[in-house]
Amino acid sequence: MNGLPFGEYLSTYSGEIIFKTQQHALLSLYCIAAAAVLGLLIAIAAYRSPLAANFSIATAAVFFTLPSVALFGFLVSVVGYGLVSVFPVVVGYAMLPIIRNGIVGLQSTDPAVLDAARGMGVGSFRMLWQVRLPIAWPVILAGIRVSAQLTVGVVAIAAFVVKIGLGDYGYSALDNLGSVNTKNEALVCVIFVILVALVFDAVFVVLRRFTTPRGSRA
Amino acid sequence: MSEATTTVDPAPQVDTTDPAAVEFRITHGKPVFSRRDVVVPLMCLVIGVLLYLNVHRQSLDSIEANVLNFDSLWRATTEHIRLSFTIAFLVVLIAVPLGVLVTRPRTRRLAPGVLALGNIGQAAPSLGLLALFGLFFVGFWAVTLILTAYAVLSVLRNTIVGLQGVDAGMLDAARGMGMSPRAILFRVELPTAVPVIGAGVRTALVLAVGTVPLGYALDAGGLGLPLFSAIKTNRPLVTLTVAVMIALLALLLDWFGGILQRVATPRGIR
Amino acid sequence: MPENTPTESNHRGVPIVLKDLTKKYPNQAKAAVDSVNMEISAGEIVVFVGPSGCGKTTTMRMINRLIEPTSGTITIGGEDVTGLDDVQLRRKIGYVIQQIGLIPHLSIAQNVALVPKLLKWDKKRVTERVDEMLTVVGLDPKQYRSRYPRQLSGGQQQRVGVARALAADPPIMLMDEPFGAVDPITRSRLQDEFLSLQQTLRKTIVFVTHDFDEALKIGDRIAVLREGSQIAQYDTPEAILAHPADEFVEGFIGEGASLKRLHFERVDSLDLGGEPDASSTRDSVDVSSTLHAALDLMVGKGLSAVTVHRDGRPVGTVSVQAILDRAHSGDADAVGA
Repeated sequence: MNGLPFGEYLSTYSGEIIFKTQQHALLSLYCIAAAAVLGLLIAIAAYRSPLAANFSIATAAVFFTLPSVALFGFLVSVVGYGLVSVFPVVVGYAMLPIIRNGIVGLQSTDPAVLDAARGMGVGSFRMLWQVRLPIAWPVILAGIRVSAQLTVGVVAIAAFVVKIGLGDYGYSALDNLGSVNTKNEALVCVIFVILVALVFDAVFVVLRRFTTPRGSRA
Repeated sequence: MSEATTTVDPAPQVDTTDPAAVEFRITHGKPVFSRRDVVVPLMCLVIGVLLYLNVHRQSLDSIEANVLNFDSLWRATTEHIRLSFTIAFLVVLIAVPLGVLVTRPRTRRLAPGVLALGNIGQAAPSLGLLALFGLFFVGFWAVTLILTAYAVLSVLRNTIVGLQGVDAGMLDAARGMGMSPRAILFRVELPTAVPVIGAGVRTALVLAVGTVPLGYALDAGGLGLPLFSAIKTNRPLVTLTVAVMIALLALLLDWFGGILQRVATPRGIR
Repeated sequence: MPENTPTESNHRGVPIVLKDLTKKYPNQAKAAVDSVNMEISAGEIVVFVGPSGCGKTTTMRMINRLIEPTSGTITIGGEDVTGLDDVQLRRKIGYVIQQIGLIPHLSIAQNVALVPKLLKWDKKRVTERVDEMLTVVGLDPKQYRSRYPRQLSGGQQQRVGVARALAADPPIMLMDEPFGAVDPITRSRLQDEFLSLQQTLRKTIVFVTHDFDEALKIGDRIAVLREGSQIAQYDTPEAILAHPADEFVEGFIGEGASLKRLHFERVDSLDLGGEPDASSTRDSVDVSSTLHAALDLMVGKGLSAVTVHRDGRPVGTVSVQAILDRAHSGDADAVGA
């Protein structure tokens, strides 16, 4: 194999690599944000009724069992290539940990705190917003964090539907296993996806520090 | 009210020797099989039949016919199943002992570090790993090994968390009774952690089903090649059929893993 | 109901009247609270005491509508509250529970300030009131306002719970085993401090407990409740001890009823017989001690009589016999508070 040494490959194609990395990160970010909003809304709608809660979690879990390749493939065969086949799958995947953690977090507030607050005249909107959510926040944030990791991975797989992000390198390498730059492409895929995932994770560590109410941190 | 002759009653008897007065809660634990278990296989069967009918009401061109025939699909499916089970088996073989090792009293400090490493490893894309590995090795074992390594990290995390979560009070009582560390491991910790480990095995199975297709270029068999060929040659019918088949396979193996998990869980915990 | 303005303290609570109050759960044959009729006077502490499951907590929680009555009415300060908006109602009723339930992510000051803020008091008033309430329950505001519940001991948390309930100066308070979660020594202290607080505040208080001795100590009147929250006896502690209505009440009083009655009379209600002679003992009790304390001293020292002093000067003697006589003469007439 006479490809470029990895270092040279990096410097030669740095522009493209950076572009693809940004693409990957941005797409992941949009999906995570959408999943967080939708997932939280579902969790808030469902946590009060055991039936709704179990149904939401169970449905999301079934969806989660289905491999992303299969879901992408299914959508591609039905609606064709393009982001419209990517978003539903990625966001759907990302929602599961958020829905599950959201429901569990909102349901597990200390009953004594709820009783005391209700007894003092805290109404239901305030109860959710000022009591349950702040207490559940660490759990919810942990769910979003897991979700972020998932998303970065699934976005890589999505590259066969739309040539977007770092997965493109991966497929390119797989489809040309014997060719000269395969090693470099594979390396770029692995290393830079890990990088993006780690950066996202680091952001969450920071977020957790800054948004956890002091009382819970004490 | 009180008179000089009032006496104080003796405390009521706590133990009665009358067996009818004593009731034990009759618990055999939940049975392994329940009626709900037929739902998944039944659903898969129904969808499978629909798939079949869908394919058969259309005329296939030569490329499609090449893939969408019973023999070739059956072969691909069995290869896929074999790969998945092999991966799951190896994963358990590696991850459980590793998890145990890292949670012993002397090595407890290593656990957070290993978990952190595992996080990084999980962040690596299976896609890229397969591409990288595929440069050097191809075939059944190539795919198996790389995906095993990938899935080990998830199950390892489950095992560690599961073992760490064993009730400290229970462990203390066991030690106090004089159980040896090995006995505690095998008779208290592992049985208690089985549900969590079982969940990890299930995850490994499903992960395997999902990542095997990405190894389509490594000549290991499975449903990956049919799927990606169909995509590259733009045959939506094949894509749809194979994609749904992969999904059904995932559901079935997950169902199977759930039953295995229940069988392995000791009765008292079930 | 009286408005809770920060400038006027409601030194007298308001009366509560329960009329045919019933709570029946759909899946149960018997009512949890079966047509209870009760009047609680302004400024008094009424203790609901009874076995587990008798409905005492359910009855209490209907007063602030945490549980909706199936039928019957609740009148607070002359106003029928059964039909009012429950959330607004609760902001005017103090509520203290056993597990305290401080909101963990809020500081102590924010916890205490909860209801005043819901009632839209202005910031300055709220801050002053928080500091005032913390002081009243024995916690230094400067030290405690910025702390968090996790950092406080059980006893301290319970004090904050009481401070929080008092913050908006509600005329009535509901307390469900408020001192149950702490050790006996702390509990005794909290009870004493609470009683002295009530001397000043004179709120109407419904206090639920399963501990009859706590009921004797705290209550102006005690309602001994049976299953279905049926009143077995509703009277002052002394009256219940002296004349228990039936076996059920007796069972509640438990052993030592006669001795317990001695808590409710003081040495100065006896004829002390003038200045003691030279043979007076060195051990003495203050004239305001209870008969129980006096008898305890005599039993402990093996004496049949001890001196009584007032402001350090001996003013008479009290003897075991005198106490016995008083205990039994009290049978014949009605025992007053």
